[in-house]
Amino acid sequence: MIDAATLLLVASTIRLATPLAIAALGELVAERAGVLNIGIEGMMLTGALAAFAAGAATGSLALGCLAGIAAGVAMSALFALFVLRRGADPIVSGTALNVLALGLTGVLFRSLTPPGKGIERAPQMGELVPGFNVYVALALALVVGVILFLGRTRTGLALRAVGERAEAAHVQGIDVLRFRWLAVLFGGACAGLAGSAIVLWISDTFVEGMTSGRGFIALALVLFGGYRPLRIVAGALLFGAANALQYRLQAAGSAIPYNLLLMTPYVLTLLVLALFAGRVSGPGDLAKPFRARD
Amino acid sequence: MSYVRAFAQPLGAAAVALAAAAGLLALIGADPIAALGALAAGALGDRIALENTVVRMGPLLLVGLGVALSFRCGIWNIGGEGQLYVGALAATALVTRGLGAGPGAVSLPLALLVGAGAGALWAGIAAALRVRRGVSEVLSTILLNFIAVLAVAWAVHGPLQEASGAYPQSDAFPDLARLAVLPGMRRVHLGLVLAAALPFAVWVLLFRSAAGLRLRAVGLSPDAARNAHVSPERETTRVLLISGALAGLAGALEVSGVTGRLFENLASGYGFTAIAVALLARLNPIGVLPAAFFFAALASGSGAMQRVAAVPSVAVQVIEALVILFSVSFALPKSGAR
Amino acid sequence: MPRVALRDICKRFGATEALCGASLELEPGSVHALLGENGAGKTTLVRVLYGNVRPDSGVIEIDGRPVDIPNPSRALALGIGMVHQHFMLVPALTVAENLVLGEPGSAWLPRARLAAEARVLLERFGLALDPEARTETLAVAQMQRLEIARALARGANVLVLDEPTAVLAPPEVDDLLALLARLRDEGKSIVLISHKLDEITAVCDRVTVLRAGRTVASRPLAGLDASELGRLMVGDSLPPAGRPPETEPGPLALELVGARAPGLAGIDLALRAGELVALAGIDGNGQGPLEQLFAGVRALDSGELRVLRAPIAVIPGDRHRNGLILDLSVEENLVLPEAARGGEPPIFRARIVRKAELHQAASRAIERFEIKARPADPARSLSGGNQQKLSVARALRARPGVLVAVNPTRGLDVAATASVREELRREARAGTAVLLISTELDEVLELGQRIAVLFRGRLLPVAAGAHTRAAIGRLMLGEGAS
Repeated sequence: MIDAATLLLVASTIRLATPLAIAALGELVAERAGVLNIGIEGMMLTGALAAFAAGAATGSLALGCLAGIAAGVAMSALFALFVLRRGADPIVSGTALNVLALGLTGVLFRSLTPPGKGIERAPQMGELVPGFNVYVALALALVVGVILFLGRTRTGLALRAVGERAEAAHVQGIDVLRFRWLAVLFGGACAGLAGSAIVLWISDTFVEGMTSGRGFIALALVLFGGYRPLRIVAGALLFGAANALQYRLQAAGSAIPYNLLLMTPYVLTLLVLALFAGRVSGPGDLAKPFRARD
Repeated sequence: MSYVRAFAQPLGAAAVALAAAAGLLALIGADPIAALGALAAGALGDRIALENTVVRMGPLLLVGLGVALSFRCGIWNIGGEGQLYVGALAATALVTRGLGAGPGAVSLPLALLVGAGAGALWAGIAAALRVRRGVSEVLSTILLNFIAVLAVAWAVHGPLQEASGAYPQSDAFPDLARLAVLPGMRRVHLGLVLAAALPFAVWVLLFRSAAGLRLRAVGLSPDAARNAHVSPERETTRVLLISGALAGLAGALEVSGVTGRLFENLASGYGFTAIAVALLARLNPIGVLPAAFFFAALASGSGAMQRVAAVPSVAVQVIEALVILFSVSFALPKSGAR
Repeated sequence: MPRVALRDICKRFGATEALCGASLELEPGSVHALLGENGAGKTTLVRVLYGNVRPDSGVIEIDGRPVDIPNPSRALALGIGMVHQHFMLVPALTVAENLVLGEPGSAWLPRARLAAEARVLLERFGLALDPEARTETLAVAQMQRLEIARALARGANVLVLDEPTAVLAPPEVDDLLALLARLRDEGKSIVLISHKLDEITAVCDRVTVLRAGRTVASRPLAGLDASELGRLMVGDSLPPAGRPPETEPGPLALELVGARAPGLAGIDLALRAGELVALAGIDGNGQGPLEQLFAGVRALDSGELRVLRAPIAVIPGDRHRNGLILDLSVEENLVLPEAARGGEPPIFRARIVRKAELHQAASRAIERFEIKARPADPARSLSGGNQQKLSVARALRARPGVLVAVNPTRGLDVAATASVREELRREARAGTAVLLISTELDEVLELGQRIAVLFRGRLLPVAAGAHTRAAIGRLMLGEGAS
């Protein structure tokens, strides 16, 4: 018999893993198309704020979700504009995007919640069964969709070619930039969706900087999973479990100081990277700019 | 020729960023003119404001130099923030718990050294992970940032907390361990003189020394450098250590020259601002001086902007990010040219 | 009217005028040679045809109708196919995936359907390849066949091949030329880009000659011989083929015994001072690992390398990736190896550069090697030939006892090629032990006093009397290897 405590832990694991998995799968598609998006963190944060604002204002979960996705897409469009259109370096641009998101969400949040108004709460996504709800269903659909798309469709083949060797795809008549744009926007949508999950499911309010590095963990998950969707989900579950355990220890008043416990996800990520990152080689043309003409 | 372009690009990027920020401010209903005016006054309006700005330049200058060096070597060191915090932490630990009442002449330089060393070590973790395990320094330095900030939080709630236990901060530094303020100044301390001299030394290193040539070669083409018997592994490790040391030194200077004690949010966001500084300076060590001044002015004016025009101070992060984006959308100087 | 006509095409890249007044007309059922030295504009012209480059001015006509070709998609739709010099296959994908890539068809493409489509194409073109094999595991000639098949599968009736024989051994070249003749008989228009005069005379019926971006001749091949073609190509008589230097080998300078490493399967090599030894071979048979070994970048798994007349200097095969750093100046590139060692006098003092000394050293090298550049110019601004001369100058700065030159004249025009080859002879005459590793068989024959062939990481010696294309060609394919 599974006792109540374990059940709660499993539910908690799934809840914490889902946004990571969603964001990581979106990034997977972007990277398979050859675009390295360091800015997922910022896109998740903006998605979270948008979901919070829309959700708290209208009381509608659906609108909150959609707002999150839209915000993620908008930020990723900005990223694509600089990196794909102007050939700016993706790492610097991604970092700038993260800083921009911090600043933007900070300014917008404070203007939305002037002092004296009290803490706004966002509507919460319920769970059908502990550990299962719309977000989990979406994540599962995403996994299946990504696997089928990349491996079993003509368009998915073209996208993989674009990421492996863009010139070779180009001379076969494939529009490299269009594929990369769409892949980046998809990644942004996933990041925004993941951000909305943080505000509409995991927490119930918005705090500045609340993503706390989840975007970078998602990046690490892509590497950890060796660019394979199922392995990425497994990694997300691993992190979800670690996170859940950490909260359990905090709540139980463990002897380990609070701030040290908070370090867990980051130390775990570093460990995972140290063990697995070096052996993984990404798509051949990852992070390399493409110029259609000389 | 390229001298005109060297100035036009940064000025252009800064101008466009400010204009875009003004537009955003108008969008949320604030008065952009009033806001930017308050910003300028708060940064440069009077003697006190100017000193505040100069004081803020210190860490931006040091960390920015480190970022410029690593970017020139092809290393994306995004960990300035964490390396600064670790340097501050180490210096504080030494001064408040280590040497106690040691003679000032010894404990101050030692504190600065220990700070620099700690920063170098912190960056060294990323270097080792990169060289030994193939881990991208982008991810590792960012993760180390989070850990370092939490480490400081733990320390000031725990082992380094002040004796009275009232607030989460360290004991105050004894006078002997504090950097002297320059005569006639209220806040501008000795360390800033050192910081102001460094850009020139770094320029000579980068463009006139064998070490600088090796560093630039690795940044431009690791394969070709390797064929000329330059070791990319050695150069990238060295540059990470140097930039870590610079950031750690900045942290030590902050606690001993500016704040006099350690607490959370000591230098929040300086690490990322330093990246904006380096990019605005087009990775040129001399250019880091005016770039650091620009961002220091933004930071020190932001408080006034919040008070006077009710625009939250985090708005300057928007300007920072826009400056970064506009700076990199024009090609960075890949050339070894200045 | 011709099937394809390019008239008076002009194209400028920045400050360089790549084409001006370039024209080409293609008839059905012909093999048309596009001839010119390296740098004459041949590749640029066909890239215009293939939609990779937009001309500044000029007309493109297909079957008499003017068309615009803004991208390869349009070129493919117009029936133009291209086989690039560096194949445009995706190495990490399988043969089947590469074949089907870009083919219009159903969106849903399960494994079974992919395999079926691929099999149809493989059979149609008689390719005996495993559809599940990763493309990077194929032999070079197989990759070329795959690329040709793919172009034909997309319905190309114009097929452009850019220097296709550079990567083939002589017998494989014959096979390819035979295939081209068959395609011609089927009515295709074939464009063969080459600077190899004997291949052109073997299979082509028309020739267009480009010189410095302009078409200087376009006529049937009948009646033209190699030396006429050479004159058209260069505007002057071609320099006579050189001969190996006449030197007596001196004491042993370098010895490689039983060298084993990834890519090297046990190599024994002895080099004497004043000798010029040339190693022929198709790319990918050990040249890379051998170059890395001599450059000190790769260690041996077993065996020994003894350098008895240090230092050993290498002129790298890929001057852009492994040689010069294009964004550093000429003088900085020149002293980079010294900077690697920490910075020695006279250029450096206390690790700091002395500008006057640096400038002087660079000026001396520029004069000696006739490099058209100034010391502070970025290496990127130099022409290919001058860049290679800079690479040579850098290698010789160390006053090596052993000089290893890898494909030293690849991509250079006739004049620069002759200059670099003469430099190698000069070094041999001065007593340096020179090792030439080249995929260009003519170069090996022209320079090598002693010749051996690299095949699958081993050395196959060539007897003194057997310095012929036929004999060496067979060895390049491994015939006669025990």
